[in-house]
Amino acid sequence: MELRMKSSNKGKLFTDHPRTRSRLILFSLMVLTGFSLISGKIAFLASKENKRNISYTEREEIHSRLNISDRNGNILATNLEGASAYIRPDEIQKKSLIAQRLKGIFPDLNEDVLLNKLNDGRKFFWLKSIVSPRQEKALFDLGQPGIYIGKREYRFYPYGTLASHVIGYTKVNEFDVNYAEISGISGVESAFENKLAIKNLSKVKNNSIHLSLDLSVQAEVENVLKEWQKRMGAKAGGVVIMNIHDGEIVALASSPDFNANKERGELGENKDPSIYFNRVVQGVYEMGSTFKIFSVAQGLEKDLFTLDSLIDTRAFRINSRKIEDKYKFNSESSIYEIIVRSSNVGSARLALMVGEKGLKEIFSKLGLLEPVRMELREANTTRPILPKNWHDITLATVSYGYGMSVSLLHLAKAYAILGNGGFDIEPTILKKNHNSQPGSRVLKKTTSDEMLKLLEAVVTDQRGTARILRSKYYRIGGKTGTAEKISLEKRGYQKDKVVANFVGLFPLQEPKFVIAAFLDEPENNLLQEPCRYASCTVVPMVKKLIERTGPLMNVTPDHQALTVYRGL
Amino acid sequence: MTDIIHGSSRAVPVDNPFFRWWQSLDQWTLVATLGLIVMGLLLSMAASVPLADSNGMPAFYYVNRQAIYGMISFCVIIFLSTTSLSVLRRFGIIGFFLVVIALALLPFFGTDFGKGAVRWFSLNWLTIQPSEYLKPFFVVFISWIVAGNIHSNSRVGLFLSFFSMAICVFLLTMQPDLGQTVVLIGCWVLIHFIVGVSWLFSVVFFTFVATVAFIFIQFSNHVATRLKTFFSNVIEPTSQMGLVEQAIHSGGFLGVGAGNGKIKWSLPDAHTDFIIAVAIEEFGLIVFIIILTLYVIILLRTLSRLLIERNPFLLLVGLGLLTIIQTQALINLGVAARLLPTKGMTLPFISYGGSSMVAMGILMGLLLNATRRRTSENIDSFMGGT
Repeated sequence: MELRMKSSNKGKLFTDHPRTRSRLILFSLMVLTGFSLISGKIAFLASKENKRNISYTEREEIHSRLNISDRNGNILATNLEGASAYIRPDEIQKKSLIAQRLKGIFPDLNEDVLLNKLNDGRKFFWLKSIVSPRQEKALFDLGQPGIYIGKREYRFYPYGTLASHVIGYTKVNEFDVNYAEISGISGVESAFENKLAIKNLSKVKNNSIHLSLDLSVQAEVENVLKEWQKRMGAKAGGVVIMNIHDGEIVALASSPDFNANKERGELGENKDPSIYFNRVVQGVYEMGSTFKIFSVAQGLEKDLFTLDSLIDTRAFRINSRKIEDKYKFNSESSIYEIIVRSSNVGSARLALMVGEKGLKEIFSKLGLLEPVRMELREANTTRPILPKNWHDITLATVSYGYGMSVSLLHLAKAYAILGNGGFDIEPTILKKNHNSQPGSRVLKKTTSDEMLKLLEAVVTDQRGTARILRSKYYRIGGKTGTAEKISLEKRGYQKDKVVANFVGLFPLQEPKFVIAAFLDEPENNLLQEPCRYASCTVVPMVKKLIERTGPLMNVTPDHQALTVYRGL
Repeated sequence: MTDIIHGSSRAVPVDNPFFRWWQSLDQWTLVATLGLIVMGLLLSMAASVPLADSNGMPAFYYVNRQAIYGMISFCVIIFLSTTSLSVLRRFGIIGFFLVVIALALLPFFGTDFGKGAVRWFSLNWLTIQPSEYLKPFFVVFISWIVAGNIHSNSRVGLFLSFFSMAICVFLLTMQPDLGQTVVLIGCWVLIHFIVGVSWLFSVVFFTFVATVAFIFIQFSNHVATRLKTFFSNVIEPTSQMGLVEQAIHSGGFLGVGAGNGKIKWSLPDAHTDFIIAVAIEEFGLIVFIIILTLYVIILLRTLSRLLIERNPFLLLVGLGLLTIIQTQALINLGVAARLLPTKGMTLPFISYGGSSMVAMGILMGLLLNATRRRTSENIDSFMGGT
């Protein structure tokens, strides 16, 4: 059975028929177009910019995160295994019944919204990103196909609000049914993101980042701060305690604070975003009189004067602006008295003696012109607000803490250098090895010694602004500062709104810690008349802080302290 | 190479059968096919490991099998490309009837391997998927009918071939096997389109098919779900398409490296339908470009041969077979690129599977045979001594 064909067309190319030819080519072009479209789409998919530069294959393994613990190993942040719930509506038959039952398990769900999601034809949606173990069991007991439980880890902070600003918080970046990638948003969680996010927890020997914080000290500091903030009716407050030799931050509290467990990465509804603001590290304020000792330090450094030198303390004018004091001073006062009783006039005179260059030099040495270098991003990005020019009037006002804003951490660092013998330090939030090297010397030893004497006098002198701090147990030195806040409505400063702060060093027989504290808009109404000065708002708080935390930091009471105490 | 193809200018004519065969052959297509088989083997090392793992076999168990299939396939190609035209035709027609019978017996003796579609005969150690073999034989059969009636004014060829196609489509829909159905219908339409059916008829026919397809889709849950997934914007991260997209995304230009791919462990059809995703994840865009180039070579070389083909039967066979291989590649790659809804469609010579491999071998052998350069005497003898 051979195929028979009409042979009239023999010899003629079949494809000579123009239609056949063109249609063959058309067909090929269609196939080629198809291939081009596919190549384009695949090339697009393959070259799509990868968020965070981690490809899927690696990302799948990054599901864990190191713990964060304090210097003694107490866990401040850890990953717990949790579960998420998701739904494939296709597999659910009785949708309204299921919606009703789910509402029973999750009272916060909106039944209508849920029912709508079940019915609108989508194949998949998340029910809850984290469900409690009890809810997980209830879902499981429903025995309903189409409701799935996915394992994932979530971040847990056992102490809730404790050290929240230091630890920071996290958010869930990308997630899938069997993992969630958590990344840090602020604080240590953000600063050590690369160290914290790890692929396989079991391969890591040390599954914790050890902070320099001491949990018990931190807790006491936060308790006292919150109590005094309330008592003084202050808007906010902050405290930092730091080792002046190696820069380890033992406690750092900013109030108001937040509970990172409840954040889950998003700003909670109706929440004031300012609770996330680390007022100690990120907040820059005009600090007032705590700045006064800087020009003194520079003068001593350059041998311009000694503590006993007499300075003209009569009110005077610079460019028609009057520099005067709230209290009466003699026409000439010693530098000792200027600091102890906190004279603006005297300080302005000293600043003019030191000059622009001198003032900038000491500020630079103490790190007041730059962001504080440390691990936290919040610190590295916080620049002091410096005056635009350094005219005489600026020198005068900056010397007593107006016209230049720094953070409390800046102040703590500056005082630490003044008190530790003159060595530069870098604050750190990590626990250090004990044999860490001291920084380079920036001030003379004698300057540091004189400064300590001067600061102790502010406490021990009966006219001193921090005399309430006199203690039978510890020798403490420090300086108060009270700065009126700039009015936002009109030019100038507001008399009734101040930032009160205090920076102190203790124990003075062997200085080890610097404590810096401030309250935003405090007012002590417990006295005969309202008092907003640091001496009656922050200083009592610091007294409490040192009494409570001293023993926790192994600061032994000093016999000489009692002698000094009685001697007055 | 060029000299060999246009071998008329060779000084010393060598008269041995092998050389004549080699000279008449489109070597580019043969080499490209061999390239595809080798690529398939290479990729099966990556893609079939999870399958072996889940079936409790040694890791490269399926690689060995693929190598055997590849060799069988290659032998089939060589053998079929050497046969004479009449053998080719008889082989195609008899094969067609055998496969149709096999398809008709599937509902009684077939198995679905728990996948919901009865497509396979399981002979213990050997699994046969008749629908894969249907395609080459179908093309030969339809071409035979159409070419035989090409110069008569009756529409006998059209109706006969339509009837044959309808039977095949019916049998495939029984399984169901939508992908193969689409390929088959597409191939049939194209053959008639090239033969010169008027545009009007093409449009009417297309509308008809589209309507039937629409009705079918409306009543088929299976297909409707897949289409819905295709048209929704949010891809479920663990769905097939979600995984495929992630695979391509993470592969980038150079891939994550051999054996480092992760998608293949979670993708159900990593070794067949989505092998290109596994390939791109591990070896990057480059491997995709290579594979695509090989298909394009086959397309263009075959096209250039078809454009000068005298014999309508050979033209139609060549075109039909070319359509099948290219459509399958288009659909498979299009699905991976999420330009087409998910369909079970293998990537010719690349995807793992004995039936697919051997059937493709048959297809390619016939294609190479149909596109051979023939002297007029060959054709005359084929024409039955008229």
